[in-house]
Amino acid sequence: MLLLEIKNLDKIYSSRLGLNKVQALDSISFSIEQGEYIAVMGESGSGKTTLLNILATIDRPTSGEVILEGENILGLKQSQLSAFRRDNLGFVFQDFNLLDTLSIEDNIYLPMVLAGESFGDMEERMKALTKRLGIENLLKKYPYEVSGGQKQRTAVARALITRPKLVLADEPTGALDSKSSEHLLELFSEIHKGGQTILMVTHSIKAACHASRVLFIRDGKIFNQIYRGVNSYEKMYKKISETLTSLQVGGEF
Amino acid sequence: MVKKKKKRHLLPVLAINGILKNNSIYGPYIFAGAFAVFVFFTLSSIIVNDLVYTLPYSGYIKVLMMIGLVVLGIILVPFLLYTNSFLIKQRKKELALYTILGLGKKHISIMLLIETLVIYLVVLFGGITTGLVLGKFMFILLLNLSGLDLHIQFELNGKAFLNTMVFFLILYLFTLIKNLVSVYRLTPSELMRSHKENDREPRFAVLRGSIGVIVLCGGYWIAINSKVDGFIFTNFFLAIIFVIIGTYCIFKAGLHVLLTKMRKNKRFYYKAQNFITVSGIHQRINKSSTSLSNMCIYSTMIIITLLCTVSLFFGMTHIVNYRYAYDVEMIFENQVTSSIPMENVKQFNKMVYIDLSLVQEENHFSVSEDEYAPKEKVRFLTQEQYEEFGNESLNLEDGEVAVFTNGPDLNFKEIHLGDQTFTVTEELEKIVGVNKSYGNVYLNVIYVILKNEKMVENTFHELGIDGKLAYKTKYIVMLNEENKVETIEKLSLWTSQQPGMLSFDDVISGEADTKSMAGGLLFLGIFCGIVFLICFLIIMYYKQISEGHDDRYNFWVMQKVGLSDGEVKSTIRRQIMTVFFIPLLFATIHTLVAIQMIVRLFAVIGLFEESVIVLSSIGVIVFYIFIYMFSYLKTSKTYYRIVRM
Ligand SMILES: Nc1ncnc2c1ncn2[C@@H]1O[C@H](COP(=O)(O)OP(=O)(O)OP(=O)(O)O)[C@@H](O)[C@H]1O
Ligand SMILES: [Mg+2]
Repeated sequence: MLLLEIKNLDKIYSSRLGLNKVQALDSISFSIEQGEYIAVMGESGSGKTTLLNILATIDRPTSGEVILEGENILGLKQSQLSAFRRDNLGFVFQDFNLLDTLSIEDNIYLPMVLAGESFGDMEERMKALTKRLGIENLLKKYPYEVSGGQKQRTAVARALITRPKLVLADEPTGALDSKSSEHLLELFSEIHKGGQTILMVTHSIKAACHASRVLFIRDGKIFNQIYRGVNSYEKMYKKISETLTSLQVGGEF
Repeated sequence: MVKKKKKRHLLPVLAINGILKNNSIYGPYIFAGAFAVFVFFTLSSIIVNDLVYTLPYSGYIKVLMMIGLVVLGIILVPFLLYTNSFLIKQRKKELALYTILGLGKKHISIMLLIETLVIYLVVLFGGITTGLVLGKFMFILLLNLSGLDLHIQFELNGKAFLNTMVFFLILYLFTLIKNLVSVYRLTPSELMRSHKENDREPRFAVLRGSIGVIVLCGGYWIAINSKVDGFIFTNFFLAIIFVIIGTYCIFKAGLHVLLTKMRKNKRFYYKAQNFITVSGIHQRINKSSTSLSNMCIYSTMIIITLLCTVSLFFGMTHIVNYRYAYDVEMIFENQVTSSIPMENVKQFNKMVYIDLSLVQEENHFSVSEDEYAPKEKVRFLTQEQYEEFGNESLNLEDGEVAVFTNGPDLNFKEIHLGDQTFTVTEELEKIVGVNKSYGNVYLNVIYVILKNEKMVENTFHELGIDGKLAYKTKYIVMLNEENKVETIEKLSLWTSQQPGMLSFDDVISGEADTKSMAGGLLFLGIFCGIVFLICFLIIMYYKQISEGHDDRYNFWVMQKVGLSDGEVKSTIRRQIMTVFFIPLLFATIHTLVAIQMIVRLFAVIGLFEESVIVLSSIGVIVFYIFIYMFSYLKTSKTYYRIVRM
């Protein structure tokens, strides 16, 4: 089943006087099936975060369409966007973006509280989630009292608690050491197996290997994509690194 | 070598840049400093201007200006330290960056030294220049308010310069030392730390809160119950200290207990607006409660200063009217027989009496050798003397007295003088030439009217006073309106030539005296009021800035997670409103209690009209509520701007 359709996205950043223009996205089109796990790769400055922000409705494209379950989300009014965001999307950021004012528990509740859910529902979901993520003993602590990996798992719990249709992650392993990264990626795979649709931007080949499909972006365009299919981990790894090399080589011309 | 030299050149540049780049926070700080210098300089100029004291009726001015100077000095110390700590906190990141880029702590210290010096010089220059330009007008304003002769020049005096320079030098050195200590204590990583840890929960919050309540009530108790005597200023001071300490404790503990309660109530806490507000305030509970307490204390000071000023302004005529039921009063030793010059005199009365200072216990009066025992002034006169004074006849018998007081009614059935007991036949409503006021608790005189001189002699004998009776004679004179001043001068001359002259008092000099005192107080009230208000506004402004910076990230994240713009706005409003009224509420309660004390203090200078004070209080409080709301709304714009940047 088709979840998300992206058609001809363009994004042009222009400086205030309009003198400098940067084409961050250049007619990007692709679609995401329900239950897919997509990794987006590309060089720094290729437009990955821009793409993610547009899908997250934090930023608007210059032109193009983003259709979620048949509805064009770019047609939503400013006032509807935040409600849309918290009902349909979950976010995991590179630098966690947890609130130091809130305990781990309250950080996880945040989107549900903002959505006006009742406390009983939240508590139930939170208990189940934190157990699965292995942070059930940290609930009363504050973000500055736990490790980076634990913070990121908290952020994942926060992204999942609203049962979003799509989880968006921008370099979620970027600030983690390899062990925590590994742990987090396993977690993502597990969530994916449970039927969650995920779109993750990453620089790590290892991370991308967990995905069911890898999109490569260069200069704002989709350059290539690789399906995991039945490929083994080693084969996938090799394919991805080859593509990345050709991305770079291509960039040098 | 070259490098080192460069660095040295760089430091002043960095220092000045530091101030300029942060002008939105240094601006108000410097402005407040300059204004304080201006007021300080003006007050000292007035104090050291010896010419002022050549003016008649200027006796109060020096004392009042001195008091003003001391109060100003006392208030400025905590204010500068508090605002300074805020400034240094705001700049920690910048300083840390410098250390990481290779400036040692020594260099940072030099930089801070230069910075403080620059601020000091700017503040001094700004304040003194303003003083030089406006000082003359201030001086004229003071003379005008005090009803003093305007021909005196505002003199520039080296001493005033020196005083101001030295006082503020010490003040700013103090802040510098504090900054240096805090820089030396911190490591770069601490300076740089990106996340802010939550304030530690106040320990023993309940205990602390209870102590706060007890201390506050203690302060209130002192304020309500202390009598006007030699300890009044000690008591006043104690009450202030207690109330301040109590306020700080209660705000901190109270806020903590309240927020904890709110957090425990899950149905309440997990509502979008409450959630963010409650956790936000709880995170910075120390900072919040300190700034709220400061706002409360400064609000109280502003209200009370304004209240006293306004009461005095409207009460001045009451003071004069109460004291002067006549135009001239002359008092002589012994019984005087010669008659006064009658030119221009409309009417005069003569009263012969004896004054004693007696210890009073209810309706028992006795003589005490103890110099420090509190005593009441009791005035004895015979029925005949009373009637001679122009009052109606009384028909007293032996063992009977009539009483009167110019304060609150005595309500005695009988009166004990030593071992003698008298029946009180009548408490008189009035006596010619004496005004009665129920508010006059401290300057009151008790009049006891006995049947005849023999009764007086007997009574005095019983009290243990023998020998010749020490009579006094008092004339009170009403004059025709024309040539009043000249007549008073003539009477004054005449009085001074009489044997046994004790005192001469007239309504015109009394008015002038009262006006000079009240005018001096008004002048002080206005300027101290403005200084306090500026301090208050800056504290409020800094609170909004620092909270804005604290909350910005939180709102940014929440918007990403799905908080709409409108919700952000309403949450901010909620957050502001939650704590908005607390300082104002407490300041009002403090004021209501302080009014008790103010009424008593004003009674000392002869203002007994409580309605004036009460009405002024209501007016001032209402007025202040508007100022408070207005400045809160204005400064919260800064908060909005920072949060939503
Ligand atoms: N707000 C902005 N204004 C102007 N140009 C921008 C803005 N944000 C991004 N860009 C430009 O758009 C291009 C794409 O940026 P983007 O952040 O999407 O890259 P990225 O792929 O996420 O890079 P990285 O891997 O380093 O995070 C870059 O050239 C960047 O300079
Ligand atoms: Mg990026």
